[in-house]
Amino acid sequence: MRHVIIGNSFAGLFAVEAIRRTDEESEIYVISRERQHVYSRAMIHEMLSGVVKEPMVYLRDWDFYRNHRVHALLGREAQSLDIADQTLQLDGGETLEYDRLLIATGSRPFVPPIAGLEDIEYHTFTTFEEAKALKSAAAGQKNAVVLGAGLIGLQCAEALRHLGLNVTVVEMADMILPQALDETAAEIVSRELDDEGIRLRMGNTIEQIHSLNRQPTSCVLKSGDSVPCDVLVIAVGVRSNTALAKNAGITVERGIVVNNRMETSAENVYAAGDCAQGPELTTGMTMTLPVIPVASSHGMIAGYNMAGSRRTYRGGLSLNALQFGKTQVVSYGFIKDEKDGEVLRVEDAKRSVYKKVIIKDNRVTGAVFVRDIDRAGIYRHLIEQKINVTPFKQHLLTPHFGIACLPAEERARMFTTPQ
Amino acid sequence: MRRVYPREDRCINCHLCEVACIVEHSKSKHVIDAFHVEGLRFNREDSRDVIDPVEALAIGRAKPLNRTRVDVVDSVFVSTNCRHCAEPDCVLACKNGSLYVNHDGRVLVDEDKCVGCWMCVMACRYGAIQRNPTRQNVPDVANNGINLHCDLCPDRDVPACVWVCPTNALVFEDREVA
Repeated sequence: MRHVIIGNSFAGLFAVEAIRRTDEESEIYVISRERQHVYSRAMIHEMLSGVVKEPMVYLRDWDFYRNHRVHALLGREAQSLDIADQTLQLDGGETLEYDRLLIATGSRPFVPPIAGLEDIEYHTFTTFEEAKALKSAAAGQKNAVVLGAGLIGLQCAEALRHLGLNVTVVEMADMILPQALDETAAEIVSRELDDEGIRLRMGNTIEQIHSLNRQPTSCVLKSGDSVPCDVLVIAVGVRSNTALAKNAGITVERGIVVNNRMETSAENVYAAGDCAQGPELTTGMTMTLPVIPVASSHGMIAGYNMAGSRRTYRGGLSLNALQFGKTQVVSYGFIKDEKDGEVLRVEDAKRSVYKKVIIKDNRVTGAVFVRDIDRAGIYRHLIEQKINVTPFKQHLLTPHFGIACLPAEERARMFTTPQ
Repeated sequence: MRRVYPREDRCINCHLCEVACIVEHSKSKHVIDAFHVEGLRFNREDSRDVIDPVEALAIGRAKPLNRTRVDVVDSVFVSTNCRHCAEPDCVLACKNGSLYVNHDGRVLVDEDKCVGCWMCVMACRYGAIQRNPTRQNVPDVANNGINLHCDLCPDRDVPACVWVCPTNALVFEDREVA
């Protein structure tokens, strides 16, 4: 049996570990366009700002591939896939046969058309190499402009600010992190970024980029202002890498469509992580959820099924933990969707504490925690297990809320058997 | 694998498990020194408005952190700690691979690698992970710290919380998956 995994990040990593836990014998190939040892894309902003040592970005020890007997084809690319023959065409013309294939190709930055963009060297910020390129480009420069106030854009902005640049973030929406936060939480994080000296230009966009010798000099915004610019980073969002699957005739919508065993429409082909459109827990629909825990779970479930140990995925939940300045934020589910829901809120403006849960049909569907994040994970359990919260609603969001508030049978389920 | 299981009907809310945990993980391993020399324990009323462990440390109200925690509401007392899950949500969420399942089944953290991103706090459905502000691997990041959770007391045959419990409300057993 030969397992081939395309992609070398969270989904691919947890797939390798799940396969090896089930099956010591079969061959495992990992193909990655990137040359690096398995690393975390969620660490590249900390690498750019220089606050962490480089070894801290690698997800596993150096002997990971050897210990798991993985043939790691790093710096290589799968160019086409034949699902009838079960073969991959690699760059350099080789053909690689597979018995089980996992597509974990992740996502890539989306770059919108902007007047003047073709005349300059701009940056995107999703990989190790891109972070290194940005670091050398930013050295000795004064002004940076980041287009997009999503997670990647803001983390990049914070790192550039840490390096001493004047940073302006331009965002089309009228709030930062429009995908992850609600207005109140975004407001608190915005104040934090203000304090750090990052300029936020909301409800705005770049209309024209002026440049000299392929170096940007300034950006003209929709509002008419001109912002000086030596380094431009485009971070307006990511798109799933689905071309390989699509060209092979596999069903692709926003991502590669998978069922709750991470199987695609093609036999023996699985997909996981940012490129996969899998089941979502609260809505019952399938969608792409580009967050680490979902990618890891996808990879693990796919790995078990590839190795013949049948496992189903209960469905993903959009969840994230962010930190900007001294403010930590944890969010679960779709926290802006308050329609037909009851909203509980705790706000303490003085200490920048904010907590909110949304309850629909006696179940929590979304929650956000700013600063006071301890034991927030219990709310994840309430959402995922669809626990009726009416019997203990008076305890939700109180400082003493904990395991003891849950129904007795739920506590027994959680604390009397191995998990 | 043996794990710690609470027995609610026996717990009397005495918090000795927390005390034993603090002493076991202190430098001195001496109960009075652990509290009065290595850190001041604030009383429960005070602790309610101290939100951030870093804030607590800054204003001199830091306590030695207990990895097990007696959770109390009305007449329900339950001592809770890390479940050492077979497929831990914290490991699946950890953004730089500093959490791992050890060869003996314990879920552990690489204390030199954790960057305090708190993905684990977000992920753990048992609320069993704390932020330890006394140790920082990324001091440039405000309110940094590292993951702190039960390590099942590697130097002891039976974890300190189980050993100390006067009512046998905590047991250390190998149970079957339901």
